[in-house]
Formats: sequence, structure tokens, C-alpha cells
Amino acid sequence: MIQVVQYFFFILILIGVGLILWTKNVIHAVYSLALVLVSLAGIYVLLNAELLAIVQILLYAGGVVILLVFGVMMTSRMKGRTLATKSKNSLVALILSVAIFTSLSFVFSEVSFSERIELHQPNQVEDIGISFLTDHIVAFELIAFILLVALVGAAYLAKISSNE
Amino acid sequence: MNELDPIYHLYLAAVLFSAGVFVVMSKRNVVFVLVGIELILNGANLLIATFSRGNLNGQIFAIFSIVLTVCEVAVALAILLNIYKKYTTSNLDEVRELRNE
Repeated sequence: MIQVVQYFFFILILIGVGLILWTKNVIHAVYSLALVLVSLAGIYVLLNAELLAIVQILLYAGGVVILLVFGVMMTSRMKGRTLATKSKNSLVALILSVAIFTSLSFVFSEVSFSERIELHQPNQVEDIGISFLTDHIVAFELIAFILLVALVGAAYLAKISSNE
Repeated sequence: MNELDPIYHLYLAAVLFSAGVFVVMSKRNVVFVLVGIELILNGANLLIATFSRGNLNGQIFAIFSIVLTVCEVAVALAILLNIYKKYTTSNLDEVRELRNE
């Protein structure tokens, strides 16, 4: 049963990636990216990473995709023109990506997950929250500070562009 | 518990990564390039989550990486607005100079 659900999410992700590669329309690519991200959240749940799945849906599907849609809305001239984008260097890009996929597959074929891992962790979120504030406190505070600086800086940059 | 062998997750991550590289290299639109970068980062996150099944530290670092991605997209969108105001295009090939002298 779990295998069927996993194959379902795999197929959804592959369809989304294929649509991103195939389409010329920017907004279609952004929506296909949303499909990929939500299906990845499902795979995270099946990998027993529940908090990661929730963060994935909240921040990626809820935040990044909305930001990208705003980017498309504000930078494309909608009337009279299609949103088609051109491709360039397709052959070189294809060769490079196939080479990367081949070498990654070569590395992954050496990996073996032989040992069984105990997957059941009932209070994962509580453990992660405690770990954020004890073991990883420096990284946690730094990431909060970086997020603050990046958002304020982004708002400032956007304000410059709208004032002039 | 008859779960799928996690080796397939690794190949899926490889597919995401190489598709992202293809999109970044071949498409000319800024938003398309951002979509490709998201694909690459999601491939990396899937690798982290796969290799750290049953271990909470991997999940924590994947969450950190997602937060950094949000920062990157916010700053990239602000830069994109400035570029679009100056050049009135979102095509990367037509953006040739950092500033007008």
C-alpha cells in the first residue's frame, strides 16, 4: 500500500518536471513547480520527516510559488504578447544535464541501505523544537537573523525601484 | 512495513537536480531560471531527507536550507523588479551591463 502511494507521488513529480522542461510559458512552469513541491512534501511524509513536509508546504508551496507568480505578474507585458520564452544552448545544456545525471546515478548505484532503520518516532516535532533551542541554537539564531536581513533588504530594494 | 527501497529516492533527486541544471542553462527568462534553481535545491533537500531517515538532524538542516531558499527568492525578486524597471525586459540575454556610465 505504501509502495502504491510512493509510486503515485513519484509519477506526479516526474509529470511536473516534464512539464517544466516542455513548456514555454512561464506561468505554466511556476504552477508545475507547485505540483512538484507539494508531491515532494508527500514523499517527505512517507520518509518519516513530517515537520519537513509541513515546512515544505508552508514555505515553498505557500511562499516561494506566490513570490514567483508575483514576479511573473510584474515583469511580463500581458496584453498583446504571449508569455513564451526562448530557449538557447539547448544542446549544451542537455549534454551537461545528462552527464550530471549519469555521474550521480553512478555514485548512487554504490549506495546500499542495508541496515534497517527504526522509523517510528511519535513526538518528532517536540524533539526537533527542543533541538533547535539547545543543540542548534547558534545556527537557529543565525538563520533567523539572515531571514530578517534578507526580507528587509528585499523590501528596501523593491522600494527603490518603485520610487524612482 | 513494505516501503520502497530508498535508492529510488536518490535517483529521483538526481532527476530533479539535472532537470534544474537544464532549465537554468537553457531558458532565457529570469523566472524560469529561478524555477530551475528551486528544482536543484529540492533535489538536494530530498537527498538530505533520504539519507537521514530516522535521524532528526537531517530534517533540521533541510529546514535551514528551505529558509535560506526563501531568502534567496525574496532578494532575487527585488533585483528582478529593479532590472525590469531599467531594461523593461525579463530576458537575461538583454541585460548586459551593471550600470550606465
